[in-house]
Amino acid sequence: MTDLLLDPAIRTWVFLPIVVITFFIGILRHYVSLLLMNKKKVELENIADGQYLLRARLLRENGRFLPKTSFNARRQYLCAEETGYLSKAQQRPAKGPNPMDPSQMTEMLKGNMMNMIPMIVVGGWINWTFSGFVTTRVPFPLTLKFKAMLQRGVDLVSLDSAWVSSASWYFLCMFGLRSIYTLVLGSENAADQSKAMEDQMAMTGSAVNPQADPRAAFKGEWEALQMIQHQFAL
Amino acid sequence: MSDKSSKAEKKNDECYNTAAITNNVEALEFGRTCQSCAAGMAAGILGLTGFQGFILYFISVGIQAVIWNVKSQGNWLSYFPERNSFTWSHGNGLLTFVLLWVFFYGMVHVY
Repeated sequence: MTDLLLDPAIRTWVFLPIVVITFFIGILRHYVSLLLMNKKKVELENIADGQYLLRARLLRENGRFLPKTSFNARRQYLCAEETGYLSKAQQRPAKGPNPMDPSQMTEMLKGNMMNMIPMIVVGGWINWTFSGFVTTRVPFPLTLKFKAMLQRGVDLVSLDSAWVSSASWYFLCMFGLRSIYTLVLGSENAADQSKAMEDQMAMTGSAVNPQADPRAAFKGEWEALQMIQHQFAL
Repeated sequence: MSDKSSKAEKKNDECYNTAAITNNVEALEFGRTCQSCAAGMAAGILGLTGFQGFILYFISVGIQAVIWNVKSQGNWLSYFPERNSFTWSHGNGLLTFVLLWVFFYGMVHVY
């Protein structure tokens, strides 16, 4: 079946170590990031804002089960001109997250370091140490297009495209181990390089509006609550 | 009939408990990963090639869907918003499956 015989030493010293190293680097990454990252501090005001918004939304959605007087009392409490939380919150001065805040800068730097160091160091090391081996064969036929993807570092024209080189095996492991990390470390893990890359891309994409202005949310909720026609459902 | 109306109501009222849903989704993800690991190992050790391996994967998906449905007592929609149990998270599942399949196939049959 196999038209190419591989030395079993390649299995012991290349194929298996790549899997093990990739896996344990992920675990290590998780714990180092736990060590370095301090928990995001949540401000009391933000929590209060969130809860008030939630409360207004619940009132809007389920208010029809309340008698009219109760509904109006609650609405008054939330939207009154001077004292209601929603109205007061709209008048608050804007304070977006300050990008020059040094603590946030260090956080971002740490995050980037956590991404870049394993990427460059480990990836480079694996490519350097284990380069140029044909490690394994995928058990399903693939078209020639996959040759470039699966046979990095091995430029053999006549080699069937189902064979996988060591560098590509490393990448395959990196992406495939994601759900196994979830299994081992729980869903909030930081082991995953590919996910971290995606996050970073998403972050650069959303850098234009880093955090939605809470005042806009308050204004929207306030308006919606003012507009609603109360109708007793029971 | 009553089932349908309650479904419609649920969508309107958003009366799902988000924490519970998150927990359920995590449980599903856990199950899916375990299942694809097991299927991948089996396929690799058995030395299946080509479509046979994928057929094994989908058989295991089917078995798992049946188990999930039994576990939820036929009431899938009272635990999850709208997904059905066959089409859950195949992206990660297939990735894991292929990785383990290739790995065990390589370990056992290539060398």
